[in-house]
Amino acid sequence: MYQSSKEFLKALYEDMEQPNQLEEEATPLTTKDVSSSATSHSRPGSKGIPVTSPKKNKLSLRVKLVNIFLLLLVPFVIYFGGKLTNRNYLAVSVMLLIIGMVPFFFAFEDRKPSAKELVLLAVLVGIAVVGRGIFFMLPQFKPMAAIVIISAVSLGAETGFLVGCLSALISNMFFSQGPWTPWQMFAFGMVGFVAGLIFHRRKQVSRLELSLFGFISIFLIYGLIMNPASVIMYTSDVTFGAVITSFVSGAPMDLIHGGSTAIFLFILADPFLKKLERIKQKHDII
Amino acid sequence: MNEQQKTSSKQDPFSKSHPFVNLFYFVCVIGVNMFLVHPIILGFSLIAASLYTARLHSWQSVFRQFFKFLLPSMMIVLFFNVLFNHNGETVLYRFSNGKPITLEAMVYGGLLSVVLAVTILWFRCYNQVMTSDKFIYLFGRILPASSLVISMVFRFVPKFSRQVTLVRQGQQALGRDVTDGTLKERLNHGFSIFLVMITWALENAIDTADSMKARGYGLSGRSSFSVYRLTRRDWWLLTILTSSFGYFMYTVVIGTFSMTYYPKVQLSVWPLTWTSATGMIAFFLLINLPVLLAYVEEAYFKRLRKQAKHHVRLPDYFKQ
Repeated sequence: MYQSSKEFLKALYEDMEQPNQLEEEATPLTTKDVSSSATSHSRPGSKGIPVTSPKKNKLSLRVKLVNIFLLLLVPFVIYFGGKLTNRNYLAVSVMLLIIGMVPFFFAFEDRKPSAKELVLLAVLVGIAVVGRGIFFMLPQFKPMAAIVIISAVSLGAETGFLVGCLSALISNMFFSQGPWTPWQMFAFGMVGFVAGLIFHRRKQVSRLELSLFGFISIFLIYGLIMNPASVIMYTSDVTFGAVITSFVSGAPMDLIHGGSTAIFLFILADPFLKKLERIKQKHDII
Repeated sequence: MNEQQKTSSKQDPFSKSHPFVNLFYFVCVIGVNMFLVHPIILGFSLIAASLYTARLHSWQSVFRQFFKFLLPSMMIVLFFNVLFNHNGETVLYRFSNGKPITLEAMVYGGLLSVVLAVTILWFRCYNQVMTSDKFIYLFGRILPASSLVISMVFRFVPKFSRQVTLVRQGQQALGRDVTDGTLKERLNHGFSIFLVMITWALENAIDTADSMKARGYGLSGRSSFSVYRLTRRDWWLLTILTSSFGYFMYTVVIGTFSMTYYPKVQLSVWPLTWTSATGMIAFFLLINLPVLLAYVEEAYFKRLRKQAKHHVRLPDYFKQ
């Protein structure tokens, strides 16, 4: 009787270990006992912040077909969108932004996320929105990008994109929607996506790396999208000079935004990521 | 949020119609406004946007916004366009490096600055009319999980704000508030309050998720309730919207409202033809629909009130 229940427990724990097995192959465990599975990632003496890797979410056939269809749609949009109006840059770019965002949401819906995933996502977005609200008085000094990056590091590139996208959309519902909303959604989404791509597969990340990434990503990803966006939205002719000028005039704002993101990441990354890790391991999420 | 809570003095029946009607109207109106840079269309749009914003808020706030925010940003847009756009044949001034300032660029830049102003006015109406519950209702059909996330965030934001106050009070009692100590200590206290909040929020999330699961989230065969129904009035509004928008787009596509700015400004709408006149009427109807609907409703109620006065015989003690 005792023997069988022990066997049962062992089988049960092995079942629970399965998701982590893929990446554990790289660091073979000497003892395959139960207690090591929960603590194998957090090495107490090391400097970095441990991050567990995900189960791989495979895209279903439906999502793949939709993605291929959207990809084929792109040349059509560029060709016909340019002919529809005399503001062809704006028309084409807004349509392309929407095409770029659809696959993420569609894949998320298709995955049929569990209640825990949904609520975790909502909490992260909520923290990002509240964070933007707290520092509302200081222009561009907002922790939103930092929280998006932290979520992406912990939960993966796709989730990072969703957190960025939704927090931009919802915080604009609180403050003000405008023609800039799709651009901001895509920009914050991309910040999260790239952060997830770079850091999520790693075993450990250091907070210095993260805050450096935060600073650079605001310039190279957020700035690269939002500065030309203002040119496309408000001027008639997209010229090289105008784009360069928008980058130069946007630089002080990007500097504050990037600096604040780096500061928030430097201070928050370590404790926040640990808390997320704890929740992930305790409740077996994503 | 603040704007949504402000109640305007006048009723707006358009806000009370079906969310799909509202969304369709705003997509049409803002789309036309952003992509069709035509002086007459823009003029109509500007008048309609100001009328509707004034109805939802007040004329005072429209003017305040116009002078405080819109006029400066319009000047910037105009300035930017004139500096970086050198197309057009009527040269007004030539820089020392040979780049000209042209009349055509100025006209187009001016029109674009009006586009900016009108778009912002329309978005102000949008923020007032398309409240978050309507947005979630509409997208709940196509994107159920994402909409659920959005609606949960709307619950979490006030919940978190309240919890922040609680945590802060707790820390305050320990002498670790954001106002205590040196600047470095204050910052530390601020961040520790924030981190306490995060822990609480994450644990709370798991509780919420368990409770959702216990109530059968994600099981098949569950239906949902919504307060919105497509009434006969909504169908009428939809018919008017689609027909006027369809006819207007038809006149646009056949080239009635085409406009070239470079090398010379050319308007194709003048002299007035049959198609351009009807196209304009269709656009006028489309864009002023909420305000017209409000007038119709007011007139209807006035008539009803008059009838009521005739019919009702009040007993003596109600008469003054």
